[in-house]
Formats: sequence, structure tokens, C-alpha cells
Amino acid sequence: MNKALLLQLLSDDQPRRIRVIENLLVGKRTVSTLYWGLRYDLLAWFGFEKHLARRDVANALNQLVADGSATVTNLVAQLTPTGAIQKHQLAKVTYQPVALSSWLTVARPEAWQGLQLAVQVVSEFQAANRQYYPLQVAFETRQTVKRWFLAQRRPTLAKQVRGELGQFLSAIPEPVADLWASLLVGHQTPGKTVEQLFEMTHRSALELTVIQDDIMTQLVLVTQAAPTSFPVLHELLQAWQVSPISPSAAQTLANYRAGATLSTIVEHRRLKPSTVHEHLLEAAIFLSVQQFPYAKLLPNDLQRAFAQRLTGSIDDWAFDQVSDLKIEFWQFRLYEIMRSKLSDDGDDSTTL
Amino acid sequence: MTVTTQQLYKVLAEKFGFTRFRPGQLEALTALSEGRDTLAVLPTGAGKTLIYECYGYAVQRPVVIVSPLLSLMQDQVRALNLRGETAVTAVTSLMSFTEKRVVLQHLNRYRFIFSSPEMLTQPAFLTALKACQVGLLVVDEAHCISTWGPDFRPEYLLLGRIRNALGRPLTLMATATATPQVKRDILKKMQLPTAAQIGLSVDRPNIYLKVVKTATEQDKQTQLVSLVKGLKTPGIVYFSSRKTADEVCEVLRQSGVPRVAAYHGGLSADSRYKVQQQFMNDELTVICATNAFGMGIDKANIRFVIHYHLPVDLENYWQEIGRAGRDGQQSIAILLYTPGDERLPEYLGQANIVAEADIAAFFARPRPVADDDPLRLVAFYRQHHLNQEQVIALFASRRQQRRQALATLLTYVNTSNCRRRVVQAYFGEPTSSLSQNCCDQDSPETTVENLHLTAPPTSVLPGDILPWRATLDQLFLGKS
Repeated sequence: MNKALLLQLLSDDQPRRIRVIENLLVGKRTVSTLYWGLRYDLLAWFGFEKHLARRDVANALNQLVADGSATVTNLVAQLTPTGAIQKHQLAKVTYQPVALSSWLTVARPEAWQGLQLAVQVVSEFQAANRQYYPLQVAFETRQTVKRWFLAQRRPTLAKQVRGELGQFLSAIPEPVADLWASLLVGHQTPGKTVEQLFEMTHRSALELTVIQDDIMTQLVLVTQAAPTSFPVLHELLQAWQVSPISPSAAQTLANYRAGATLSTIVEHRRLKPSTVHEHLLEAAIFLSVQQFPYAKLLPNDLQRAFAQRLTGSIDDWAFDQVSDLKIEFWQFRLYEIMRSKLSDDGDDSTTL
Repeated sequence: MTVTTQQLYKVLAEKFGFTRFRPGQLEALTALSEGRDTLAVLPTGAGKTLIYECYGYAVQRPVVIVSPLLSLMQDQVRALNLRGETAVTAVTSLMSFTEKRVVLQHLNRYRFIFSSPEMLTQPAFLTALKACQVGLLVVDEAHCISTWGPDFRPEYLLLGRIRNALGRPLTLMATATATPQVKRDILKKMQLPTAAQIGLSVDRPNIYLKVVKTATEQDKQTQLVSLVKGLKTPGIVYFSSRKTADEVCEVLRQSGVPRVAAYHGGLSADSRYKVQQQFMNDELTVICATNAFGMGIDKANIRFVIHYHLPVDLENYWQEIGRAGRDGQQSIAILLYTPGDERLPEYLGQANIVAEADIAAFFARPRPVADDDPLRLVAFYRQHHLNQEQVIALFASRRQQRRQALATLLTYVNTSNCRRRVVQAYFGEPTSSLSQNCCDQDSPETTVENLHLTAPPTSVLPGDILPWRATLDQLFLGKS
């Protein structure tokens, strides 16, 4: 982590817990991390830096504090007015992701690896070269590309891939499209490394990674939305369109929607009641209000009772305010999630 | 299974496109064909891999290759892929659960199976291997049995037993550098005292040896820049630290060495692949690398190898400089030395050696230990029935060996006699007649110009970022 990323993830009007930001970046899937990710509007950054070390977070924070850009008390940080100006200026001169809200619907590292390998395979195929070092990617990704290539293999394939990638890149700002394409690998074209682009363009490694992730997400979204315009890439990339909800949480929600009660789910799936509650909360965090059965889980009279007592900023609500209502904590949290989503102008939940 | 010499030549022509074996290859293959376990000590670049590949094709049975490094295995798998061989796999800790299951289920479909000693101790893998009737077991970089086994990778010491468990398949132990002591140790640990021994001189007469002493770290950096700018490329500069590799790479770039990149384990797999390919394609001419780069790099025209830090011993040094001049053309190896440089290898060499008090404490109260805990070694020996005194003695002797190894390297650095003679004596080789361009002690008047290693005057700038349309045309339509 560098201080530019932390600057981007902190706010001047909302104190933010450093551990939450760290856990989000690392991709620690707990309801608490996800909930605060929602509150901070940073869910998209979930798992962005899986190998982040705690000392790097501390270093970045110390630098921001030393610069006078942030203050920190008990590991809760907030930008100063200077920090807010810096954040604003940084946003003006660096690439701003356009598909951020959909980042979690694409398995970005796998999609990028898969696309790179597919481009290499097609490029070498076009050059009629069978003897080359293939990119080393995970087994599952390699198998996906292999199956795709065997199904698509025909003399016009390179031209088609060229056409579809060209069609997609024409809609991307030119300098960014140039950078992104220069990372690709193929016949007698080893591709540039992120470190080299950093040297050549003076864009930071962070910005380059954001570009890489954002363009990849856009490519998956565009090809999946218009299979007839992108028949070849649609086939390749569909494997990497994913749900941000864990399979187990999705299963719990499906069971509940199908009419099972929470206690039957606990019994049938041999889960702890608290796990089932966490599953529902996780699903609620990622889904829009319309997509989640709030009415069934939070009956109207309970919602009314909550509404009477819980006022002001959601971040300041405390369970103590409603604990006498004979409810459990998860219901309070679920209400917080619903209200977080309703209080936004638009629906910021991830598109599924 | 007997293989005739004709069969070997047939494979050589059909699979490798050669008509002649390189020195040592046919001798090793003949010994194997006669059913004799073989220890082959052949210098870097002599073509050790061809020996087992050729044998595997000739007998049409699977070859299992034990290899020390994941990156080396990946390189070897890719090198075989490159020649069109697809029945090859590396069973490693990097494999996902699914991949491992699929590969083990179909293990008999593979002709070349790479793995680590640690993986070979896993019962499921061993059982799958037993079922495939291994034609040849290869211990690649076999010196690791002696140099890594005791204090770093103890599973290397179990290879003799693993071989027995596999039904004692025919075995090839291959290495580029081994002192007489290391050779004895390999044969003892593998329980193969009567194995045939094939050896060529480890000498690389076309590599001029030079040591440059500097007073301070800053002088060292200045010297490096001037050396790199003055030498014919491609070349490799080796470091013992990732951080210094990155920093010095940047210094070189700032000083006008345009096509330079760092390579180490801290880069993403993607970047490592690209840097390696760019170097192979001559787009990059200088690599600032840690020892993660090299094993498996088969680039014939490397003109210089410079060491910015001292390696831990002469074997490692010799292995690393052996990457220069594989095409037989004049090349140069330069070791930069600043007083106090020995502290880093001293620390690295002693890092896995456990103190007596810690050993005693562990024996008094044994407990489970993590994989990265230095006590893992003590636990390993205890599990294999060594008592406390034996373990203490083993580490004490190891400490002494490491010190001795570093002292020998320092002899190489400080000698006022021929450097090559130091190396030959270390590897127990008869002193051969020396070439005219041997080393800076023998022929101090030799210059880079005399060696014809001067950098050509022009140097091309690294490629620009092309417009995306041009990149796509290049990738898919072959337009440059």
C-alpha cells in the first residue's frame, strides 16, 4: 500500500477505522468488514491487495499524518482539509475507474490471466508457431482457456479477436487503451511489465493496477452484455463473471427465499444459527433493497420501532438503543444495512 | 532395459535435431543404458537435461526428476513444452487441490514428472509413482543433497529411502559443481556407493575471472555503473537482496543504461515471465537479479556476470557465473568486493543453524513446529531418531563447514595467485593448462578491449508504448 491509496480510501467527513480498510483490502470476508465497507462506500476495494502487510498500512498512515493530511485517534483516521484537497487533486490527475461498482462481479485476476493467455495462444496460432513458452497461469484458468481455444480454433480466429478487442478499445480513452494493450503478450511480443510502464509513463503502480482492473471489468461487462457483438470474447470471459456473495451465503438466501425457515436451514445445513444470520447479512450487503427479502425478515412493526429510536447518522447508532426490544444484534445490523442503502441517492449495490 | 547407442543417436536426431552428443552426455547415457546408476558432474551449459530426456524417450518409460526450486521446475516444464513435449508436469505445492487430484489420477500419462523432495515424501504421490513403473529417477542439482540437506531442506536426506520405496529405479544424479567431499556425500546419502561417475572439468576457460575491490559501497555502485556501461551485453548483475537489486537497477537506468530490469521473487509471476522473455529476445540487455533468476535460463550469448554481493560459497559463485558464455565465446565474470561484504553471506549461511541451547530445550520439551521455524530441522532429526548430542554435533559441524566455505570464497577474492587455480583446487581437479585470458591475477594487463568485450557505441532505446491499434496488429496480424 502506498499513501496515495490510503488517501483515496479515507474521508474528510467520516472517521474510518484503519483495521476495516486493511481487512477490506486483504479480502477478509467477515460481516463486520463487509458492513463497514458498505458504510464507507469502499466495498469495491474488497480483496484489492491480498498480500498487504500491516506494517505497510502503518507506514502509509504515518506518512499521511506527518504530511498533515490525516489525523488518527485509536486507529480511526480522518482526512484534514489539506488531505481532502490532496485527494481531490489526485483524483483530477489520475485515472478514475468507471466500472468500480462492478469490480466484485468479475474475478479480475483470473480474467486478466485468462485473457492474456488466450491472446498469446491466438497470436502464436496465427503465426503458426507451436513452440513457445506459454504464460504460467493457474490450472483452472489454463483449462478454461484450453477448452475455449479448442472450441474456437479456426483460421479466422485471430482476426475475430483483433476485431472484438478493437471494437472494445475504441470506446476507451486512447492513452489508457494504449497502456492496457501494451501489457498483452503474443508472438515475438513479450508485453510490457507494470514496472516498465511505471518507468515510461510515471503513472504510479497503483494507478496502473487500477487501470488494469477497471478495463478488465469493463471488457467482461461489455462482452457479457452484448454476446452477438462479441461472440468470441463472450465465450471466453463468461467463466469469470462471478457473484460477490459467497456460495454458502447464496445457498442460505436461496433456501430462505424458497420458504425454509431460519431454524430449518440451521438444521438441514448443520450450521450454527449465527452463521445463518451472517449469511443473510452478507447477501443483504451485496444486493439491492429490491433484491433482498427485508420485509419478511424485518416485520413492519419492528421497522417502525427501529425508526422511532434510531435517528441521526447511521454510523452513530448503537445496539443499546434497541436491545430492550427483544431482538438479536443481526436484526439491528440488517436494519442498518437497509437504511444505508435507502439513504443513498442511487442504489450503490453491486450489479448482479 | 538395454538401450543401444544407435537408439540413442536416433532419439538425439529426432527429438533434439543434433547429430553429435556433447562431451559427457554419451558416457552418462551409456552407463545408464547398461543399467548403472550414475553420478554426472558436468559444467553448466554442458546439457545435463538432454541426458535424462534422451534416456526417457529411448526407454519409453516415465522419468521422475527431483528438482530443488519451483521456478527451476517451471522453467524445465516450459522448456520441454517449447520443444513440443506436452506429457510433462511439475507436481508441486503450487498445484491447486483439483489439479493435483487430476494429475495424480493420470500420472502414468506423463513422460516427465518434476517434483521436490518434500513432495516425494507424501504417501499419495509416492503410491501414484510406484504404479507408473518409473524408468529413471533423476536427482537434479544433486549437490543440494550435501549442501542443502543438513540445514535447509532435510527431505533431501530421505531421497535414498524414497528411491528404495519406489523399487530402486535406475538413478541419475546430476550436478554442475561438486567437490570430492560433496560427491562422496551424494553417493552415501543416496545409498549408491558403486554408482558410475562421469565427470568433466568444471572449468570454463572462456570466462575471464576478475575481482574488483572498492573501499565503500558508494564506490562499488560507481564501479558497477562504469563496468556495465563499458561491457558488451547481454549481462546479468547478481544481488543477494531484492531491495538492492531494485535500487541499483534504478541507478543504472538513471545513468543511461536503458534496457535494464530487475528480476526477483518479489515481482508478480506475470512480470517475471515478461522480463525473462524480453531478456531472451534481447529487448532487455541487463538484468539485476537475485538468484531466483538463472537456474534454467538457457541464453547462450551472455557476455558478463557481475556479482554485487558475495555469494555464500564458491559452488554458488561458480554456478552463477556459469551462465555466461555458453556459446563458447569470450565472456567475463566480475566479483565486486568491499571490506565487510562477507557479513551478509555469513549471516545467510548461518541462518538455519540452530544454537545448542535451543536444541537442548527442544529435546527437553518437544512440540509441533511450523514449516518456517528453524526448529523444524531439529524436529525432523528427532523424528528420524537422532539424539540430542548427535543433532548438536551435526549443527556444529555444519557451522564449521559454512565458515570454511565462505573462507574459501574469500581466498578466491584475496588470492595473489591465479584465481582459476583456487577454483580447480577446491573442486579437486588437476590443474589444467590455463588460457591466455585466465584472470586478473595471471594477466593483469588484459583489458575489456583485449577480450573484445567492449560495449558497441550505439545503444537502442527501449520500445515506446505503441498505439493500441498497432499493438493489436502486431499480436494478431503479425505486423511489426
